Amino acid sequence: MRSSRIRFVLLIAVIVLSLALSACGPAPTAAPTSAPAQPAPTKAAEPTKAPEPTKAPEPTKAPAPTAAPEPTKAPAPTAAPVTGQKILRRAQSVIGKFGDPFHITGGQIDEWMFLTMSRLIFYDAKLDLQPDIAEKYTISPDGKTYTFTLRKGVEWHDGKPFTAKDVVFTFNYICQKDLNAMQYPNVKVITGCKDVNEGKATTVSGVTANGDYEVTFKLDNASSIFNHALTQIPIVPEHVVKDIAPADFTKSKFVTERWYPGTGPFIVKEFKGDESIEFVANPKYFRGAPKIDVIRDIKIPDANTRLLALEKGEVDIALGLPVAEMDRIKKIPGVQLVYLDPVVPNVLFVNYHAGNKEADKPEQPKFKPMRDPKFRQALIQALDLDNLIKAVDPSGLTQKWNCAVAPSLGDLCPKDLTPYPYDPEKAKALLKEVGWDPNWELTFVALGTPPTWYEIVQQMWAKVGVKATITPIEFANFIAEFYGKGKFDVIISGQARWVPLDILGTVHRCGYEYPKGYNSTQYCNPKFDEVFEKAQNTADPAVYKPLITEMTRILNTDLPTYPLWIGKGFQTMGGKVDAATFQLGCGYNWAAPHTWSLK
Amino acid sequence: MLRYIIRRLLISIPVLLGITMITFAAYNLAPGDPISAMIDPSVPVAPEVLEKMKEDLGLNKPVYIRYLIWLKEAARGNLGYAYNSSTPVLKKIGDRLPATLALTVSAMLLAISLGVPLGVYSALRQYSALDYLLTFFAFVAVSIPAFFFALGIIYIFSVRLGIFPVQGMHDPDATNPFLDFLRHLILPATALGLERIAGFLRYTRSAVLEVLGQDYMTTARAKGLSERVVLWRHGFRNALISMITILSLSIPGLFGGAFIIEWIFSWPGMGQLAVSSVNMRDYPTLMGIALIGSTLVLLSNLLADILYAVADPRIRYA
Repeated sequence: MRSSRIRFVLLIAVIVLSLALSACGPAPTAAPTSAPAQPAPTKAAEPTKAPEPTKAPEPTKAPAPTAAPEPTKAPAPTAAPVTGQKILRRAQSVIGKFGDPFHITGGQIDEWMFLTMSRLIFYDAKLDLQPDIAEKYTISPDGKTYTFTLRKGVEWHDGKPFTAKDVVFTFNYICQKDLNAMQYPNVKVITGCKDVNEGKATTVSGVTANGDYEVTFKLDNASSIFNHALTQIPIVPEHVVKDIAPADFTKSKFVTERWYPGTGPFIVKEFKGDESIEFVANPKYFRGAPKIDVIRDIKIPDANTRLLALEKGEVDIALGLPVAEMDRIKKIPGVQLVYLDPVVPNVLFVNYHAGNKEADKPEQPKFKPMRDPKFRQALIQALDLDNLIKAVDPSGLTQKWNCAVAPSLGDLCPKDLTPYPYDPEKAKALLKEVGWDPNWELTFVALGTPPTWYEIVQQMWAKVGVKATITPIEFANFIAEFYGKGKFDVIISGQARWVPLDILGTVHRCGYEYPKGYNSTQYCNPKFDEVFEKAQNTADPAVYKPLITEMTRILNTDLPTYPLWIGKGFQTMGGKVDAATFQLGCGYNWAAPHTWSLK
Repeated sequence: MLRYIIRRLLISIPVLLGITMITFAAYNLAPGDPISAMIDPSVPVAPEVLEKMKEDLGLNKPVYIRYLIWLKEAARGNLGYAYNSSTPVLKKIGDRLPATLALTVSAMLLAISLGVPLGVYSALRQYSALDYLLTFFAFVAVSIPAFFFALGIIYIFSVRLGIFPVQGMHDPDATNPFLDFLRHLILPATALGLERIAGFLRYTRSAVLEVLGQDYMTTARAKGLSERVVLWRHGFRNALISMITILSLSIPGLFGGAFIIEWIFSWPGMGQLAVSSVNMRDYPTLMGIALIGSTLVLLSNLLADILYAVADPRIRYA
């Protein structure tokens, strides 16, 4: 009896001890490998990491990451932050993947990327191109030859000199088919790029280095989109990336760990996937040493917790706080609200059901009136936007907007655009004119959970005799259902409109339905295409800007898509942040991070 | 006993196989795809690039082929690579599992160490003021939504009183990392453990009450044993059987509850990883989590069966 009790107590003790020990950090025993363990993390409280898996091949395809050549060993940028360092802590709702410079898929990666890397040119807040790692550049009168003079004395983070060879290498690399670079469609205009992509040549003949500090690009034809492409391409270090096969690039340590070395103002010190990322200053940055020593982005997924962390001072900037919390945020002592120029209008898309998609078949009676611009006009004029906007955003940061490009590009929008004011009687008359039957139903699609104001829109349309059934499509499913099958009649959704040529073309050109483009409404107006082609095939802003204006007029008449309203963005900064040093860049991104400073 | 354990472990293999089959089918047949989840819907990406990305991830193959490939590799110890970070799934889970174990085990220890003694005490003082008070506490504790309680204690103990940090598992600049870890652990463990404290309290109370009325308790007292021996050796040990059942049943729930608590406290564990992976349709990571989670649940059930035998001499496994 006694021995059984002792065994019982011992067993309980062992179980409790083993559970407690497991909580304190040893790696799980599930790891099936004898490969050496990863180095212990630097912070004692952090759980140790699991052993690295072996070189077993990936189930789906690509070579195991261990097979990819490793970039040169990066020296630790600095030791752990020491007292007195200026640390900027930002709370993000997600810490996304540590992206591939050639597969940039979102704003966060964009910002991280250009904290650490440089490009030839970039957009400023007014969408004017400014030289970055290039000191200056010229474009030939025919728009087919670009010559960049590079900054001298720039060093990669590992101390190696940056030269024109790195630029030439980057553009040769990006044209490789196996890399599948997201920017390729916009750079294939470089002479010889397509040949390399198709395996007909090994080097891109249109990119040449003239000495160490000058690079020339020759294009097959002038292209305004090429300018845009250059703002999206980080220059990568030849001495590191040359050893990585393009097919292995995405899984190389250069991509998955640190983008090291770059030439940007900051260096990635540590990336913990889905948890945090830390950057330390690059004192040799070519525009001057950053004023902040460390930028630490941490994931706080819950918006309430982000706000509480800001209130307590655990973070200095809380991103992505809900507009609904605006009043509360304003009352927190020391917190500053910084407003951003709006770039993503909420746009009404009405499907033409032109016959190219699964949802267009069989032809339904409602499709015919839906193809008439008067029907679209009726839907717009049925919306009491003033009241709707109050419901969308009680904070007053949202305004009506009817131009196809963002307000920050205001000079591209003509003053004479038709406003289509709220007029339910006019809407009813237009519906009668196009032969709309009030018994027909519109599939009113929402991406993700329908916002609460969707029901208000539904009611406003119902008042003029348009029944709309709200149908959510998950974000992870929208390409297949929305773009692929065209399963919608109407949708109101945000769409970035700050790079006008890129977006206006892919959304509105004839035949640019998915998978060729993103013309979800199947709109087609040859006049629009003609103006677009002219704008695309020039590198001269004086030529293409008026053409963009012309496009906004056409869209304002045809109404395939119609911006309804646009909300200002805002960022919430704690009292420690010197908000005045944060320069707005293009879109929602802050520019010139080397100037950011703390009080 | 050893043979029984081995047999149970062998039986677990087809169970796990079934679980992986169902979860793989459910994940892959659910609407949505990882490519759509990877990109920003407001910024169109060249469709040819998307197609290539799909091909690169092997998503152009039929689901059953993908499952067989996954199974073959899993049998060799390779759970694949996370879609959105290209890191091995095992490493990803390995990085997160200790955090979740630390949180859930702490919550469980808290629940047992408070719930069981309070339950015993409540049973021994049935219908006393304290019994009523504890009963009221238990009802409140099981009724409060976890996220609400979590935000409430953050506001009070972190923002207002400044005793604990709001979020995270550690402060990179902390001078004493272990104490810092404990400071970060207390609030989430309390939030996660609250409902379980109430559960253990109620179950222990009713189990002890049931045992107290048994004939063998009267017999033990008639033998002249002290009340302490009667209670702990004869009473509590018999009440343990039902408590072991509750303990093993609550482990899966504990992992489920950790999803919400990890989300709110930004605790870098498996729960957060699972939520992110669902949003991103990261099938390999989800499969890894399902596999590891199911294994833990099966093991906890096995542990419960072993503990039955230890606690009750009448139970013997052939």
